[in-house]
Order: sequence, then structure tokens, then C-alpha cells
Amino acid sequence: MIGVEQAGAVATITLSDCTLLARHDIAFALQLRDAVRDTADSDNVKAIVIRVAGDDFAAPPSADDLRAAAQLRQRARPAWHAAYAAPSGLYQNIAYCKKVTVTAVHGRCAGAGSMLVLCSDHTVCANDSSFEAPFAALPESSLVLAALTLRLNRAKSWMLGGQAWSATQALQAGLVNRVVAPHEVDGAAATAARAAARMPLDGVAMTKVLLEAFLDTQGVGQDFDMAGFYADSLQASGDGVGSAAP
Amino acid sequence: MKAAIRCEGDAATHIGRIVIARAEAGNVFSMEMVAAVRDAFVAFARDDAIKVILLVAEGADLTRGFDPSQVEAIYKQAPGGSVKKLPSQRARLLALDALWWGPDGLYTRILHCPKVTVLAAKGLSLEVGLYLALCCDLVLADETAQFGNPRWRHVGVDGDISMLAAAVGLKRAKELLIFGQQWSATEAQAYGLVDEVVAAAGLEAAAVQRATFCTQVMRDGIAAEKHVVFASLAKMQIGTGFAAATTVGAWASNLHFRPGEFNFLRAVRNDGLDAALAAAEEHSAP
Repeated sequence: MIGVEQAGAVATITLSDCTLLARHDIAFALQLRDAVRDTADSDNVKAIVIRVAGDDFAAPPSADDLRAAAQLRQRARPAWHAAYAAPSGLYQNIAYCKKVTVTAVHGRCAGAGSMLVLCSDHTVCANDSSFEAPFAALPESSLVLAALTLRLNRAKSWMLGGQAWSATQALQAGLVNRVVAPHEVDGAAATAARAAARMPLDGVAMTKVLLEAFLDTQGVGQDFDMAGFYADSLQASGDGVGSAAP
Repeated sequence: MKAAIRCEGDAATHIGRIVIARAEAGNVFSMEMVAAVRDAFVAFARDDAIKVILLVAEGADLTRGFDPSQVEAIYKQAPGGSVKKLPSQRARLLALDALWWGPDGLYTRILHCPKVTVLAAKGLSLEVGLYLALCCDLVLADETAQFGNPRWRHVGVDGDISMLAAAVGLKRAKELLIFGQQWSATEAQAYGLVDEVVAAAGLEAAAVQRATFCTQVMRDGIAAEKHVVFASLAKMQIGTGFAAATTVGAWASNLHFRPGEFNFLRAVRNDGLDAALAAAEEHSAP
């Protein structure tokens, strides 16, 4: 379900189905976390591209998926938190990754897919892409990270607007960095990754240390720590899949 | 010899003008120019007749950045910098603190200036130019302006990132930090780095007009507003960002380069400055 390939200093992680993350498939989340962490640990890798095979980067999870996810959060809270939100979990492993991360998006991007985009350093998307805010359904989402990326007013607009953003809107808001034709997405993402990989390895490491310090001073780690409380809030809002947002 | 930095205070207009005047060299900043601009900001800050400080440049470019011929000298001239063949770590820390990020560094002095600061950017506005844009209150740019920091492609990021992220958003900031991009004036305005883009012929007039408008605010009002800004900067942890910049910048001056990685200082030593600059461009080309 997760493949890793390497060309020069750029590694590409390909997921077969990103919606497993929104369904809180903990084994899959840990598998992806391990792939990111282990790839980043390699001295021969400076940049990592994350892409998804199939028609969509991350199709919106169904109501049944979200209900099942909410039940799992109730049933296995520590395991859910550890897999997704904790410092050793998936999202912080990407947001605080010691190598450069690039997401290559095509089609619909919702739920966990939008979190992968927020956590990555750079995003290339197809001009037919759309981006749904993850906050209402996934308590492990970080609004702080969104506010740092988009600025607070736009983050709130994305969260509360109820509409998926088009690729153009996402570009204007700063959620994505480049919009290209669908058949150019993988090539453009690889080009961006290769550009980052021209930096010396020590330079990549120090750049990421600076970024890590910045994220910490801005409260990103603390926001992920709050995921359990956001989950409680979501649960209290009804069936656990309602509109409560962090 | 012509001064590379000129200062012209005018009590009648209440505008203090600082001119970067090393156009023949792309207005690259020497250590002496950094100190001169910093001292000019300090002096105008203390002059009660001055309400607005306007920073402009002669020639086609605001600045191409710090003088590459002095990259090693800044460490060797710092205390403890020439004790051994390689500058000590304390010298590297002290140099970066004194030049840029510390209490008396250029960027701290501009960012915490109690007067309104206005920048007129044009042409290459790189490295030091990017930070001048981030530290000044108002930034006007002409249509030729280009913002970025090419040095980061060769050593990684060794300066503050909190101001850039605050100005343009985190992911946008990483375009300059990690991916070696440069922004046009139009892009910089769209992203929030620049307030206004004007035609090249009208840049200085537009900057003076904007500065003159700001002088209509009473002195106490300017001081009060700037101190509100200082409080916001503290809340935004900009000081933490500056401290991290000094620390990581000093580490970055000690990089280990692996085979195949471009080492600018080695290229300078082996092939001379011009050849090293050309090799740096070639290394960064897509």
C-alpha cells in the first residue's frame, strides 16, 4: 500500500489510498509514518515527494467512514493519538521532518489529504484539484498550522466556509505553491524536490532545525497535543462526525 | 572617496534619508556599510525633528546582498576570530550578533526603530535587501524589483524565518527559504512582502510622497504606534527567531560539504571570487 522509490537525493513515497488515514486505519498511518521517518533518516535523501496513485489525492471520507473513525477514537484513544497527533505520530513526523517534503496533489484533496498538504513544505497540484478543510471531521488537524500557512483570516474562511477551494483559490491563499496541468504534477513536484536537494545536506538539516524552532515557538506542537480535547469536543457535538472544529 | 552610505536629515520635511550609494558594485553591503546604515537609523531615531526614515538606493539595484569578498572576514575580525587558522565558534556567534541579529545589529535596530521606516526597493533586492524589506514598516517597489536570497541555496537558511513567515505565510516563505525562488515585485506584493508597486521612473517620488504623508502624524502618535508594534513583535516571538538565527547562522558557517555539493568559499579560495560567483549561478540553475 506504500511504496518508496529513490532517484538521486529525492525519494518518492506513493500511497495507494489516502482515505485510509481519514478512516483512522492506525496500521496504515503508522506504516506511512515509518516510511517518512525511515526515508528522512537516510543520509542519501534530501527531499521526499509524497504522492497518491489513483484518481484523487484524498477523496472526502464518507459519513460511514467518519462514524467508524469516531468509534475508533473512543475505543482506542491512546493508539489513535500516538499514530496521528503525538510527536512520534504521522503528522508531526511530516511537519517536523528533517528533510524537505513535497506533496503532489491531483483530483480531490480532503480530510487527511489536506493535513498532509498542510504539513508538507511545498505543494504542487493539478489545475483540477480541490481542497477541503480537514478541521470539522478530523480532531488531529492543526488550525495553528493552517493559520501560519494561510494567515488566520483565510484559515478561518477555509474552516468555516463549507466549500472546497479550487486549485486557484488554494494558490492565492498560500496552501499550494504551484498549479500545473494534471499530467505535469509528478514532474513539477520532482523538479521542486531536486531544486531543494541542491542544498548541502548540512544546510537542509539546519534549515529544518530553524523551521522546527519556529513551529515550536508558534505553538504547532501544542496544538497537536490538544487533539484529544478536540476529539472530546467533536464527540460531544453529536455523533462524532459533526461540525465541531478545533 | 565617495561614501557608500549617505545620510540626509531634513528638519523641515521631518524626513531622514539614507542612501545606499555603491551602485557600481550592485550596492553590495560591506561590513562598514552595515554599520553605517545601522548608525544612521540610530541617529535619526534620536533626532526629534525626524519622523520618517526613508531608505533608498542609487543605481539599478537596492542591493545584491552582503559583499561576498567579506564573507570570511566578518568572522576573522570578530573577537577571537583570528586566534587560529579557522575562526572560533565564539567569533562566528559574536559577528552575526553584532552585524545583524543582536541588540545592536542592523535588523534589530531597524525593526525596533521608533520612527516610521520606508524602503524604496528596485532591481535586485537580495539577501540584505530581503531583510530590509521585512524590517521596514512600509515597502514600495518598482516593477524591476526581485526579492530572494540566493545564498540559501548554497548553505541552507542561516537567518531569521519568523518575519518572512509572518509576512507571507509559512508555505510561501519556504519558496525562498528552501526552493531557491525569487519573487518579482508583483508576486511580492500579492504575497504581502511589498505594499505598493510603482513604475520604475516614479519610485523615489512615490516613496517621498508616502513618507511625507506619514510625517503628518504627530510625533507622539508615531511613537505610540511603533511601541504597539514592538509589543506585537514580542508576542510573535520575533526575538526568539533572531536568537535562533544567530545560533544556526554560526553553525551554518561551519558546514561540512559532501562530494558533489557546491562549496562557495572553497570555490573562492581555489578559483577566485568571480569564478565562484559564476559557479554558484550555474549550480543553482534549473
